[in-house]
Order: sequence, then C-alpha cells, then structure tokens
Amino acid sequence: MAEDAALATPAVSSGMTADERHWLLRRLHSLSGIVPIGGFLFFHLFENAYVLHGGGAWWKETEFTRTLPFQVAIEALVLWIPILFHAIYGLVITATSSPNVGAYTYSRNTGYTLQRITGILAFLFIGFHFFSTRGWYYATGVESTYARMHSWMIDPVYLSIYLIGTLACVYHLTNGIFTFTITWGLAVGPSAQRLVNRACVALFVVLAVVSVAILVAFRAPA
Amino acid sequence: MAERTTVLRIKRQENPRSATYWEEFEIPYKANHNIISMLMEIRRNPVTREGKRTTAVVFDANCLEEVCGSCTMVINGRVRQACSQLAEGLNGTVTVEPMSKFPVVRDLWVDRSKMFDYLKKAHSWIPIDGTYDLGPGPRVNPQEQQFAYLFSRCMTCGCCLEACPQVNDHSKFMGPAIIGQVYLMGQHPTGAMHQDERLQALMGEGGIADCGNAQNCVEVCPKSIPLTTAIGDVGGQVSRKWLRDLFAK
Ligand code: HEM
Ligand code: SF4
Ligand code: SF4
Ligand code: FES
Repeated sequence: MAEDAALATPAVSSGMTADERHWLLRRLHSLSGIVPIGGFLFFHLFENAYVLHGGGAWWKETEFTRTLPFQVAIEALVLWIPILFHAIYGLVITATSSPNVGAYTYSRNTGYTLQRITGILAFLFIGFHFFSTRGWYYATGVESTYARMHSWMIDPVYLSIYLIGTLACVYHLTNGIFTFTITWGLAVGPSAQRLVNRACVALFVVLAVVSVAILVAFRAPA
Repeated sequence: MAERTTVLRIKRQENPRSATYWEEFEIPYKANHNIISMLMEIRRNPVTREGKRTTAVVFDANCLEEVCGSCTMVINGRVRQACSQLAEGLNGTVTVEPMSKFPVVRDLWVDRSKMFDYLKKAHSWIPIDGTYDLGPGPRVNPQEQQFAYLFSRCMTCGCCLEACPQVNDHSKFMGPAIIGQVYLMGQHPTGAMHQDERLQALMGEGGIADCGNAQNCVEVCPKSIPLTTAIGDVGGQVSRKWLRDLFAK
C-alpha cells in the first residue's frame, strides 16, 4: 500500500495558491522596477540628453521614438502596463507600512521612508508628465516640440515640478536598485550591501546631475 | 543636597481592551538600579509621584540578564530589554511603554505568542526523531558553526518586530526573527533536508517578500544577529526555489 502511494505520480495542483500569487506579485513588482521601468528611465534620460547639443539635435535624435512600428502596442507593453502595475501595487505596499524614522533614525530607515515618498511623488509626476506630453498628443495631435518644452522650462512653476519629479524618480530608481540586490539575494552580507549602496548613491548623483542639466538645457531659446 | 531620583513615566492599561493612561513614579537612586528593579520598587510601594496610591505596574521579566527576552519594552521611544537598562545614564523623566506591535495583556506586559506561532508555521526545528537511531549527523566546519551560533542566540524578544516599519496591524508581515531562524535551520546539513518546507512557509503573504529593507531590525537586535544577511540569503533561497519549481515542475 505504502509502495503504491510512493509510486503514484505526484498530484499536479492546477492554479495558484494565494501564497504563490502574493509571491509572484511581489517579485513582478521588484522586477518591473528594473526592467522595463528602470531601463526606460535610463533610456529616457539618455535620449533627452541630446538637448545638450541643442533643440534641433534633440528633435532629430528622438524622432524614432515617435515613429515606432506598432507604436501604441509597444508603449502599452513596455511602459503603460508595467508602470501602472508597479505604481498601483507600489501604493498597496506603501499602505502596509508604518514609517518610524522619527524614533529610529538610521540611514537605511530613511531610505525606506524616502522610497515610499518618492514613489508617491513619481506616481503623481509620471501621471502629469504623461498626460501633458504623450497623452496630450494622442488626445489633441499637439506634439511636444522644443518650443513647447522650452515654454514650460522657463516657467518657474513647471521647472520646479519637473525638478522635484525627476529627482524623485532618479532617487527611487537608484535606491531601488540597491534594495533589488537584497530582494533577490545578490548582495547578502553587510560589506557587499555597503558596496552596492555606495555605488547606488554615486549613480544617484550622476543621474541627478544629468537630469538637472537636461531640464536647464531646455531653457535655452531655440 | 536633594536626593537623586529617577522619574519613570509609565504607559498603563488595565486589560487588553481598556484605554491607556500615564502615571509617573519617582524612585530614589540606588547604584545598579535598572528599569526592572525600579518596577519592583513600584510594586513594593505603588504610590505615584503626586502621592496617589495606585495598583502595582504589571510587567514581564525572568532572567534579569538579557537572555530570555521577556522584559522587552519601549524605553524613551526605543525598544530594548528593561533589565539591562541601568538607571545610571538615564536623565530626566524616562518614558516606559509596552511594545506597540504586540497585544498588551496588562500595563507593560505584552503577549509575544505570535512569534512562537511563526516558529511553528515555518517549521523552525530539525526533525531527528525516528523509529531507529539515525547515527551522527554530517560534520560542519567551525567557521559555519560560529556563524550559525550568532543566529542561535535569538531570544524571541520582539525588538526587531517592534522596530520594523513593515510589521504593524495593517500588514501580515511576520517580521525578521523568523527569517533569521529559517536561515539557521537551513544552513545545517541535516536541517537543509527540510528547508523547502520552511521556504514555502516564507513565500506567502506575511513572508519574506513583505520585508521593505529598512534594516532597523539588525540595528536594534540586542544579540547583534545578522538579520539582514539572513534576509538577503533567504530571499535568494526562496527565489531560487521558486524558479526551480517554475521550470522543473
Ligand atoms: C520612475 C518610475 C519607477 C521606477 C524606475 C521604479 C523602480 C523601482 C525599483 C527598482 C524598486 C526596487 C524593487 C526591490 O526592492 O526589489 C522599486 C520599489 C518600490 N516602488 Fe517603484 N519605481 C517607479 C515608480 C513607482 C511608483 C509610481 C510607485 C508608487 C507609489 C512606486 C512604489 C514602489 C514601492 C513602494 C517600492 C518598494 C517595494 C518594497 O520594498 O517592497 N514605484 N521601484
Ligand atoms: S529589513 Fe527592515 S523591513 Fe525588513 S525585516 Fe528588517 S526592519 Fe523589517
Ligand atoms: S532576532 Fe534579535 S531582536 Fe529579533 S527576536 Fe531575536 S534576539 Fe530579539
Ligand atoms: S528579564 Fe530576561 S531579558 Fe530582561
């Protein structure tokens, strides 16, 4: 009898248990922060950095992102769906936290709290940014030309929103790369984590400088 | 010269459902007084600073040498063992509160039994009982033994849960202590044979994926247990098990 049981093919459970679904959602959240969202943020800063060569160069070099084959499908799969998922689930995760930096003033705890604050800021900024540029184009056909971006960047209110929004995204990504390496068991011990943390702080500084330089460059008259 | 005293401002609660209130007690200074011995003074003579007779403050304590974990409280806003907090070095009014992440039984006494339930849930033991002698286990090299020893010092005190921003009444997160214990059980060659069951228990809601990497746990652990190392390592173990199951089953 016991032998029969041992020889029987193991029951293949169909469908996911609640635990497996929870794990999958958390892992997809972590992964989506890096690919595709984090990857896109790198690319987005890179393409827009062409503005440092002038508005003409910027418009010419970013041409291909406006003329992709299957444009909408690619944007939806690579950007909208992952960002919406990461943002909404990120808000769900944020709702389960109880920040306590007041009582426990460690630098990592500050990072934990900032990760949630910059997540909310990124959510608001990305929504605003998308609807006023790409979304606006789909709704009205008005393109986000250099003149349009320039008119915003010389406005202190818009410039402040963009500075806060991009710096929040950049902080969220670089701190997220650090926690990603812990989440997936890549940086395990304290000295490995310290090393990765330092590299991520350096990356934050570089990306922050690049972001500010791009925003400021849009202030130059065409 | 005025007599040196310590003022304890204590958060009190009659029973698990009643409202909280604060009372202050002034205790004459004595060399080597600690929070627990001062609470014992209050028990002997429960009179508040204003001279009002009150009930004795209820608290939990056992070993009085920071190894049992039962006297964990929030002292001046930070979680720690009350028995090892000397009056020496405390100035002004000292606030003493029960931990906020556990149900209060009465006054400073909390119920930490959920931590023991987590140990059961995650199979935090190594089954070696059988119908015959299993013989000696595999040998473990001394470095690994020493590293494992760090984790074996966990006294289930709850400091790490109290300081963790992901442990609260609106999250199911079991907290870091159990992750440390799962790491401990899995690093031993005999324990490793059952590690999949433990990893499975840490996969679901309340498990390791709910950690937000605030790393307060490793800062407050009175036994200096490398909890974040365990979180990184066990996070990798669960990820690998998940990928293995995904592609091999
Ligand atoms: C610029 C867009 C964004 C990028 C590049 C990004 C990237 C990342 C990365 C890489 C992580 C780390 C994952 C890990 O620790 O394993 C992360 C975590 C997180 N993100 Fe985002 N994210 C973005 C937008 C958002 C938004 C809009 C929200 C919504 C509030 C959000 C909320 C969160 C939260 C709460 C975490 C922490 C999760 C945890 O520790 O368990 N993110 N993000
Ligand atoms: S690393 Fe932070 S979130 Fe994770 S268990 Fe420790 S204190 Fe909690
Ligand atoms: S890991 Fe440390 S802080 Fe947490 S319960 Fe064990 S001894 Fe206490
Ligand atoms: S009484 Fe045991 S740790 Fe304080």
